[in-house]
Amino acid sequence: MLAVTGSGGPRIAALNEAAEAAGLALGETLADARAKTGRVQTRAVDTTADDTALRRLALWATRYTPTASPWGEENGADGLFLDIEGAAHLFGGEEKLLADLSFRLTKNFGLPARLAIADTPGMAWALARFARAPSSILSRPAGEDDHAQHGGGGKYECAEQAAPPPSHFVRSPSPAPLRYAGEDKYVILPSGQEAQALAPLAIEALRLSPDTCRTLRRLGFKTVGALLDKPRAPFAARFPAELLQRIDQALGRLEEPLKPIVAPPVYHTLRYLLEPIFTQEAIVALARRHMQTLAQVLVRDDVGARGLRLSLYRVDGGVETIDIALTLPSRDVAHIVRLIDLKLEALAAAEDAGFGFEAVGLAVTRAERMAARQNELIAGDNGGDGAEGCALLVDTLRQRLGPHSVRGFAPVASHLPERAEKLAPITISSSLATGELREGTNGAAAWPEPDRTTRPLLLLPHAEPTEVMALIPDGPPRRFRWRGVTYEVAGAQGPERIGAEWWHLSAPPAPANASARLQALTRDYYLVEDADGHRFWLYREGLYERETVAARWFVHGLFA
Amino acid sequence: METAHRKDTLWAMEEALHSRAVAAVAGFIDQIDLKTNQRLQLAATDCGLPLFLLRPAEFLEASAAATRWRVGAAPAARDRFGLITRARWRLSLERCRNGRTGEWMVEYDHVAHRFSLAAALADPAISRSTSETGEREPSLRRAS
Repeated sequence: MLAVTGSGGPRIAALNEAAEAAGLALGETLADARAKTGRVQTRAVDTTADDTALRRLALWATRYTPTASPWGEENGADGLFLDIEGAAHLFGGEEKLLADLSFRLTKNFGLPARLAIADTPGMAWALARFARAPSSILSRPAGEDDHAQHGGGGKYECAEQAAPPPSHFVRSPSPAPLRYAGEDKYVILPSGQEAQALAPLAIEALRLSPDTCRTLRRLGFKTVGALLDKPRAPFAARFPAELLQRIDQALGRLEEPLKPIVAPPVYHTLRYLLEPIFTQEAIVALARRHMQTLAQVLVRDDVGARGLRLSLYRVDGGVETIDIALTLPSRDVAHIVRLIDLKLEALAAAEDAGFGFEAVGLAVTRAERMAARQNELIAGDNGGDGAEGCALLVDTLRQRLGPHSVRGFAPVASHLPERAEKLAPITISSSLATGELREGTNGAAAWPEPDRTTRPLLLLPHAEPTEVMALIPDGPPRRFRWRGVTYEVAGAQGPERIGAEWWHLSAPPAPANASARLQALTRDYYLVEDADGHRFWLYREGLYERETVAARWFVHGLFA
Repeated sequence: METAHRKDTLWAMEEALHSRAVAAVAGFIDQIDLKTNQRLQLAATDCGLPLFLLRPAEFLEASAAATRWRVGAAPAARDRFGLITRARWRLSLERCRNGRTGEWMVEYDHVAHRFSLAAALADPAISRSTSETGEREPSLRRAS
């Protein structure tokens, strides 16, 4: 079951067969569903993943026709339109095409599909969603079949759950009568019978907004047929324009242009060689030529490469691949060739070329938009602005030292000093590269304004236990011993009390659970200076007589 | 960034200097021979960027760096209630090409975010001269 946040809490967005059998319905609140069945597995709806899956399906469907269009939001975003005009005969007719499509969808994607062919997109949509065998159209109340196609199957991935029923339409006239093939899995509507086929369907089949549907139902219009023979003027006056527009589109009186999906471009070059090559220099020279070819295409499309793959095909059949990741999109030939050179250096140490490489290919695995920039007339000594220079440096360092070698500090919302920051791989956003933002303006906003007077210059990675003498158990230290040296305290400043993060503990600290109890203790930090001027950051763990009897002391940082 | 080998650290520092995308390069390295040292010094001079090497106090071998500083602890300045107002450090310039060595006491102003000479020693003439040398040196070497 998939849930989406709606009015009054999360609501059900999609169901599988088991959940439907338990009596759950779309649009119910999750709380109601839990009360009904007791145990339901829920996941949040991931619309981006749905969208990606649908796009991939549409790209796959271009094997049938060049014009495939994934449904947008107004169509329910869970299917496709294919314009199969002039393409059906290639598969031996419309029926064979549908059978093939249905078979491949089930086999390749695990998607049970509901298919329909009609003269107009609107009609095909209505038939795919609402058509049943003639008897069932009449007997079943409308609106109930909606779930069946959403929840059908239940075996496919979450990401594709919202994309089961592709729909198809054709403009070529076929004189056969209305056919229901196999257990009403697909419908083929002959040309000219739109009004006839549309009449018994529920008004939801018109792709109207929920509000319009509700109003129409309240007025007693349950099927499209009830609307079709009414005069148009009163409806035009009382309802939004979409009502008549949708009817006209379904009946073919109004054109409905489709937005065909465009396949993403492939940036790839491959070169076969007369003689196998062995040396690093030869590979680099070839990679440079490949990159020069690719750079022209990248410039034309206004994109830069974020990821590249160099494939080296051995004479004996093996393939070596070298993956290169970039911090910022780039189409700088010299820079990319240098990165390849660095990677090859590491590879050359580990492997030998054997009989040599007979073909070398270079492909862009990840492309990102990159605005064209004016080149400097005279190359400056630092060649580009700060962020770009940094990105080049980070790329270079990462090629030799590994992808996780270069890291930066990121703030963490925590009061405990050792948890207040973490090391994360540096990301340089492309907004920085365009020069709109100065470096640090977006990242630094998240940092709290630190009180520098009371934070040490060097924070030890782990607080080190120390022996402390204090006059009173909850007073400042007078003398302490750390790393084999005894320090006399000349002055102490504090305490600064930092409470334990009780919200991170799943269970209340039980006396038996020693580690949980340690975490839950309050810390009192002191800034301590000895006679020579060495300044330390000490803390006492546990409040005397409230949390612990024998408080432990730790050295956590150094000031000088 | 962290590296697995000392060789990689040196390579990374040199790479960062040559990229000229950074304002300064600082590295923590324990052992370094004179030849590598000269190489780094040359790279720093060529690129006109300051290079700071942080070294543990024990290592005191010959160096090609322009300056060598030693930073030590010093009692902080306190107000009349005994609270620390400004942190202080003892700085000694142990080696300086084309200059005089010396010893200073500096304190850090947390409001203005800058170092200044401690009040007891403050002398406008010295203050100006030290701050200028600090900025102009292409390569600083600091032992702490």
